[in-house]
Amino acid sequence: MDDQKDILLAKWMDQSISSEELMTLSKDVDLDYLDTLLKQSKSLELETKPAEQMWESFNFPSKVAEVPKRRFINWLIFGVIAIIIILAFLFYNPKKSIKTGIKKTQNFAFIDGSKAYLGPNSMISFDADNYTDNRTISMKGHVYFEVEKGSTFTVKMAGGSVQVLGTSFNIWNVNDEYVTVQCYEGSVKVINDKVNQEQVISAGQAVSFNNNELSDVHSMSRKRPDWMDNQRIYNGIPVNLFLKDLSAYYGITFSNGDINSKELISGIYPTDDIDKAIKTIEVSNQWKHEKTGDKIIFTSSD
Amino acid sequence: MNVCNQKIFKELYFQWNEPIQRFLQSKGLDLHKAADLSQDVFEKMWKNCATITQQKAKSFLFTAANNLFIDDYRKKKTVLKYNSEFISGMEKKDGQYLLEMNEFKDQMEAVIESMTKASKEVFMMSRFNNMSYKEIAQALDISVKAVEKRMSKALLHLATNKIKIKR
Repeated sequence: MDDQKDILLAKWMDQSISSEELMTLSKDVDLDYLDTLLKQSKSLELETKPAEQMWESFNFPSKVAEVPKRRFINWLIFGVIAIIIILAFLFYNPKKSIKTGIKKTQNFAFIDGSKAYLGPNSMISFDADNYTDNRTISMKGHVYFEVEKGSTFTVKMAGGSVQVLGTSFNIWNVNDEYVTVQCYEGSVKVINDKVNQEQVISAGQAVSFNNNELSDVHSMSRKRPDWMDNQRIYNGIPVNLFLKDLSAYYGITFSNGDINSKELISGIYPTDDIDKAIKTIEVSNQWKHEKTGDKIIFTSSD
Repeated sequence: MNVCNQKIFKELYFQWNEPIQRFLQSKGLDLHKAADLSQDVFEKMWKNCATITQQKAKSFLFTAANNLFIDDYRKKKTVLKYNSEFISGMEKKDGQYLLEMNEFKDQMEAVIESMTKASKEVFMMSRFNNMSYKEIAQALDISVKAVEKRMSKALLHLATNKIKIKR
């Protein structure tokens, strides 16, 4: 069926079909039969475990701490953090840097209330003395920023930079060839140093550098980065970078046996359940895995 | 208002637990796996209850079910049963009718089984879980148009692979 016709049956069942469309459709499809079949199938259903029975075995897990809202108490916390930072700067090198290792994430609040959420194996650094005048941050790895309004906030990374006024955005900087920037609020300007290209994206949009070329802007529906919800979504990334990135969440080395490193991976993978992650990798790519020590090697399953 | 209130949470649990089970069965899980995973979905909602409003609860549940679902390699047979309304009407019918209905049920399961996975899940969600095309689209994170296409494929499949029905 052609493009117009291929949704007619769905519209027929939904009773949103026009009489003209119905004429066309009834020539191709035995609608009387289909109607009787569907009516008769009303006597059938899917069996479920009754909710009453399920409820009895439901265990309330402990809650994840509430995401702080901007209320007085939080300003107080930021204030305290800010004072600690100021005191720390009086005694230490003004070049401040925050690093996370394998399996670790960390949140950081700047003096102006802007925040950075670091994924595993990531780093930010900035000149704490001049931060108020010059909001410039260097980063590596995977960082989500929530920027308070003010002067231009610049994030520098291998291969380029991102400039904003006040907004939320996520950067995944694998190396100078692979960078993804996702914008969740306001708008950001993404700059690719190597080819001197610029692209402005707004809330709900993302853009990547891929082999020194800025990709087309694509839209996304998430409200915050995938890794903050314990999963990673990949859209065509080479096998070696994929395995390296996912390794950082588990502290286990993943490597590819006979699988070509340049093969592209897409899909959604959990970052909080190693068994599910391995299973998902196996099923969606038709690989199998082998464990040696704290290393997991994937090979093609045939 | 978030869903950390136990009374609100329990109401949502009773309202959506079985629809979530049917949703997961439509995606190919058997009765027990679907029930287990639905329990996980509600645990996840409780863990994150502070960030979920009552209005967002339904979409959170289906999205979480869709994300937690992991395709199981082994092919599951679609299993249907008669609903209680049909069974209570059955007492008045003769044995011949029962035989024919059993045959219908088996053939219906088989013809659903022979659909492509994408068509099968959309058809079952619509038919056996009362979900609108829009609800299916949101839960699977695809467009309504894509749902309509898959649904039409499923219906065309039914129309071209005829089984014995009572006219």
